[in-house]
Amino acid sequence: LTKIGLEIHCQLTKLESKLFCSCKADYRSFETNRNICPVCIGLPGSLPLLNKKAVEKAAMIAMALGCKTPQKIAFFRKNYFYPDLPKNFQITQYNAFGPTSIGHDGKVPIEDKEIRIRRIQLEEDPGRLVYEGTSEKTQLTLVDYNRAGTPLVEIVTEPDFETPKQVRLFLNVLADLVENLGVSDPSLDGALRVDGNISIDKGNRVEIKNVGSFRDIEKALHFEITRQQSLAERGIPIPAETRHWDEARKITVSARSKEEEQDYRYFLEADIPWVLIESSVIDRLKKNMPENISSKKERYIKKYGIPLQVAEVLSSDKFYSDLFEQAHNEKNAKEIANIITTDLKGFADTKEQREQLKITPKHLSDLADAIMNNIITRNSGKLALQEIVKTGKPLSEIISSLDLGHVDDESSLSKVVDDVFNEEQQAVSEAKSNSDTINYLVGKVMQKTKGKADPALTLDIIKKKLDSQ
Amino acid sequence: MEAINWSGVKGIIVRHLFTWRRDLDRVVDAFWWATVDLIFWGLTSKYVEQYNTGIDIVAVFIGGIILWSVIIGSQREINMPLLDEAWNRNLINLFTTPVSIIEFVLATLVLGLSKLTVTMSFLSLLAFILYKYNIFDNGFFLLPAFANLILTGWAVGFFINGLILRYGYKIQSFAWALLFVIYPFSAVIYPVSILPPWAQGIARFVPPSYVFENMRSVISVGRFDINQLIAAFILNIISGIDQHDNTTIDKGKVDYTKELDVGVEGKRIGIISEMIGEGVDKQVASATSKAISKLQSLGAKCSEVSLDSIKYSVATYYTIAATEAGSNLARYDNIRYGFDFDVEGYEFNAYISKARKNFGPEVTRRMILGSFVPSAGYLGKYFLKALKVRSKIKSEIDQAFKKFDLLFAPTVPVLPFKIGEKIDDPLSLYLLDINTIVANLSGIPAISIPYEIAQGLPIGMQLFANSMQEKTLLQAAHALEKTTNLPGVPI
Repeated sequence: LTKIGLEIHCQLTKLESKLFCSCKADYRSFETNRNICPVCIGLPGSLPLLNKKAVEKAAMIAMALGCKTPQKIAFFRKNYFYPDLPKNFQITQYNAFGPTSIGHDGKVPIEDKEIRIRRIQLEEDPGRLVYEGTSEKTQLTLVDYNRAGTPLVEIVTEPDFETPKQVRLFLNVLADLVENLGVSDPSLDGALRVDGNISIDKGNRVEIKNVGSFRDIEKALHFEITRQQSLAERGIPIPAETRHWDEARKITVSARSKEEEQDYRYFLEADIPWVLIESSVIDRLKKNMPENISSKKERYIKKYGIPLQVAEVLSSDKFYSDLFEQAHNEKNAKEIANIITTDLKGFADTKEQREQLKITPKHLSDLADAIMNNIITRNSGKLALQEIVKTGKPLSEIISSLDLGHVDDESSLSKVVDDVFNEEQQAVSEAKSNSDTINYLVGKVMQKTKGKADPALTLDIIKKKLDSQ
Repeated sequence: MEAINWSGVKGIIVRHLFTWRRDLDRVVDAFWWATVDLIFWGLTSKYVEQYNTGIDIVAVFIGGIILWSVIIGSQREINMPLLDEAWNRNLINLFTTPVSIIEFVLATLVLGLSKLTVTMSFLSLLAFILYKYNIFDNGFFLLPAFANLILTGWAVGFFINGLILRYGYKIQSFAWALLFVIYPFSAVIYPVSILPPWAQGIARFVPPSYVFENMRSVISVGRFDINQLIAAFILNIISGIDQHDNTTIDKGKVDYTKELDVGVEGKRIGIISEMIGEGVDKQVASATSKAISKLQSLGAKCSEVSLDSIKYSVATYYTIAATEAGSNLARYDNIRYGFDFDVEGYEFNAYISKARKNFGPEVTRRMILGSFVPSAGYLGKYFLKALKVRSKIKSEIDQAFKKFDLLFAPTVPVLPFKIGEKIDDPLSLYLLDINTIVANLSGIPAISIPYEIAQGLPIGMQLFANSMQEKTLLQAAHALEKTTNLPGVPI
């Protein structure tokens, strides 16, 4: 029996400022040690000033994960010396004296399981150590405090996972959830970080830290299960320890320092008074909470008749669902959903691609309307979309400049069919007995009209001509 | 505004310092007229004194003359540099140089202030030698008085400069005459009240009149009780929300300087039993009972109140304070700032602990205590227990303030000890804090009033008020301070 628990650190990247000062929460664009102030580098005499928005965003995460939020929350000091920790204590939350963190006792459904959330706490990120070379062989360790004080939400689960796959599913749900809530951008480097703990067959608990990307956690857990099982088979006891994930070698290695033995001497942070979480604030947050992913999916299926798989892709990705929400109306919803999840997806795979896209919600609704009103064919629609995402020009302009207009008058189409019949005489004679060959002929007509021909009408004309021959 | 070129300022100062050494006019300005006035009015006041007017007439006359020469001196020194340049036909030359007007004015102010300092020192010394008049008897009153007079002098001076620049130095006599227009209304020697009603109206718009009126009231009252006013003034500035401090609250704007002297009539004052009984020095005890009877004679209703948990306050305070201090001081790791200590060759833990060896013994003691007290296994035994006692003390204080407006006790139970005397006995040092840390633990305002001198050592009395009741506290402190017989505060 495998038991896995997770500790997830999620930066609130959508906030303007840090947790206790007015420096930018988005530290990534700054030169080293340029996004700092007396508060976040802990100069003597500076005091923390709590960012109320951060409390609200953390409360939203707590709500979305089904947690309870106490009426009063408190902050604690976690004391330890480390060069990236400016004050040599971290301001965080702590529930050992009763639930005072922003969230506790929640649950998240995964497949047929329920993962219990032990607690959610709001805290500050430390700075970053920058090594010359690797951390093992470095000659020089430098500190960058730009990140210090960035608002961080730590989510601690109960050891309810049984397989690394469940972990992956949970993390996907979590990443989509924080993105959908508009509190964090999980695609940013370091915005979502995961530590795991794992024990097999009621053995000792091993912690896995330093997993760079949250995609690597699955690999690390697989490795750890195999390692522990093979130790157990040989009758070697598994020590309770902290292991670091070695990204290059894709294995876990025992941490030399005994981190788990540290005494953090938690006590109340007196510089920040208890924060009352008023029920009016909770009500307001609840009211303004973005629709959650599963109810969004349900709505897409029920209201617009969008197929399950399309609805799943659309609802779990905030970028797609935002586009959809702004573009659709009752009539064209299904068509827009199709365009987004089949055609647009190819141009919007990565974050960089998405930033380049010139498409607007209006483009999408125009495009869907044009297809539904037979102004262009679905095939031409793909060509038009390709041009839209590159240039951002209005659809009407693109249709005329690329000459995508639909060919649906019988006389001109029948001339094209005549041409094809002349060129493909053998196929024509075969087609009389073989319907597959008819499709071949339709394809040829499409080719000649660059996809503009109305497929149904083309088939009609071909059938008529074959019959009359 | 353009940047100030300080070498230009310096140049003008140097240029005028050269003239001062040779110019008889300037010497006469600085010393002669004021000296003549001083002797003349000094002798006059000695003569009048024989008629026993009941007021310290020498102090009124001499003080008036000295203060009046402050305003004359500062006005004239604004005009002299400009006139000097004008007489020497140098004004045009001066402003063809890169010297800007602001630089010229700054130089003028510096020159004026330094000459004023010399003149004032001379006059004060002379007054002391001739008439035993010590200007510093006026105490803190001198600071605002000088500011008022100098600013008035400057204002008149700049006005005259404007006239000279507009109409030429044919109207230079204004520099000597104009100030005497406001002379009669300034009430330099006589009070405003003897002026005819229309002149009293004018006097109200002449800033120096307030200075001289006040000076006379200081002389007649004997002392100017300014401590609580200063405290109230500073409290006006620092009270309310601090944008950089989460622990501040806004309870609306209160002007603490207003109604400062309403007294303590009808106020219910609780004398904290635990702070006046056992362990209190005899002289402190007698000063305390004296203060209590004074408060009663002012109409306060005093009775004893017992706060049971106060005996635990020192232990509680040092447990909590050391924990917080130890953690606060953790940031001194010599990484972001500090003294010159090369990191080369150190692992970071070794570096940090070596850098932190520079704390003194008392700080180290508190850091060690502060690390031990909240550590795993001891947290519940010490730190959490201290928090509980703190809330108990707070609730006892809350109870007491249901019955009393103020609480009262001596500030320290014993007379001061010598510097370094108890340095090796930290515990007895900590115990001396017993009366004061109650305020820190319960978050209430307290104020200490220097009350008596015994064997040359000061004894202080202390008042506490409920949270946000600083106004009541300052009013009571003001009333109590007025009953003391301490010598004036020397500056």
